[in-house]
Amino acid sequence: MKFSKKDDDIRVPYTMEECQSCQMQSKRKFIEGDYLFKESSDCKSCQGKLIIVKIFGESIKEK
Amino acid sequence: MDFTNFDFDEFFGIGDDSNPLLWLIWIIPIVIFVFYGQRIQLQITSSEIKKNISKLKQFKDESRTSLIEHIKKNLSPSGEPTKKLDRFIDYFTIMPVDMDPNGIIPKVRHIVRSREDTTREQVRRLFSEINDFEASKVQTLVEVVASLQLLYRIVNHLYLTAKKQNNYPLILPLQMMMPFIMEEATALKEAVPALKQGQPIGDGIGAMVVGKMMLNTTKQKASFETVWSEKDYNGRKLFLMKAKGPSATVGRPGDAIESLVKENKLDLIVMIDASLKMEGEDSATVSQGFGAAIGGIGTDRFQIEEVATKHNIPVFAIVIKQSVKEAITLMTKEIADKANDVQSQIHEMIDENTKQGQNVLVIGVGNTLGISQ
Repeated sequence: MKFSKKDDDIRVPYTMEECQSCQMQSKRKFIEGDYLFKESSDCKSCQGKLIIVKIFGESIKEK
Repeated sequence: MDFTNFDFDEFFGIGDDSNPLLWLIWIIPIVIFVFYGQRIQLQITSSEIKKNISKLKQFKDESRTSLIEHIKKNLSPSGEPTKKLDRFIDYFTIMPVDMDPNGIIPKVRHIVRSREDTTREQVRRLFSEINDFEASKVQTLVEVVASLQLLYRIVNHLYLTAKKQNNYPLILPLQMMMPFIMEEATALKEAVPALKQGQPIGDGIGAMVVGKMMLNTTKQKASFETVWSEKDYNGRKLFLMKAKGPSATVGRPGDAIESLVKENKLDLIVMIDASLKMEGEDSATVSQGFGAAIGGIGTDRFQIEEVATKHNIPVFAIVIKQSVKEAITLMTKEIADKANDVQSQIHEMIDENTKQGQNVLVIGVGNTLGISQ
């Protein structure tokens, strides 16, 4: 009989960028060298500056 | 079934016509359990602990190998680093005598800082050239491997002692502590990938909130690896302080607040930190309270409490709850998503507890790996 079930979760790192001009947010896979509040690239829609506002892991459950 | 003619003699095998074999079946297990019960329990318990010790050894070896590979592959050390790294991992710390606790805090601070400073210098000496960011990552990884090694050694020592003495009661405290030890060890092992890649960890949520508030301000050095800046908010002057990111450091907020208070009058201190959640509590819940929200060995908290008491400054805290694993591994989305909510709560707290023209110190506590300002 199994009394408890422990799931091992694998967290995939993502980076969230936000444009300083149009506030548009975009999510992409984390790249080594990313850190919070780093100016990353230009916004595709308004050419404003994108900064990294979040770096986080999202779980993929593995049983 | 008819129970009226139940024969006890027959049932227990003690009647005149009973089979001696049946009688033995009852007696032998009783004799075995009376004389060897504890040893049997010891065998059962120890097999479970042995499995966990193998896991601890595996965690320790894997994290050590991972550290060495990271250094050799990405950082080009000046020579063969393995022998030196093994020496750093093996460092121990002798805490000061506490029979007379008066004046023990500066002694603890001195010893802990001596260890940190020496390890930092020795890590730097492994490379002809290394930047602060990479050096701080290596130093933190060394601490993680050293912690795993210490856990393995202590558990193995207690287990072997109990086995050697055939002492069942000796193994009971270890059996009770084992789930907590394994939770801590698993969290440490899983912290390694995030530390190697310089990703923010759950403990960094306080630094993340204050780091965001510090954007577009002029940063000044407050103390070793700690920065502060000024910002106006709703007629108040905010002093924002955090460890200097994106390196893997917690800074020295105790020293920083001592130097800041010498030149500025503070009316309120607000501290933001990650806090361990209790069982049954949800992760990433935000709570407000009073007192210095800062972990570690206690020396920084002591300094902050001393300053606050001496100058009669109220200390408020906002904590973001999380598990041990969440605190030292890659920050979860749920925790990262709370940053804006925490910032609103800081503003609300300042509005409700200070008047215009007053000064507020906001400290983002925690490891600032992967979080600049």
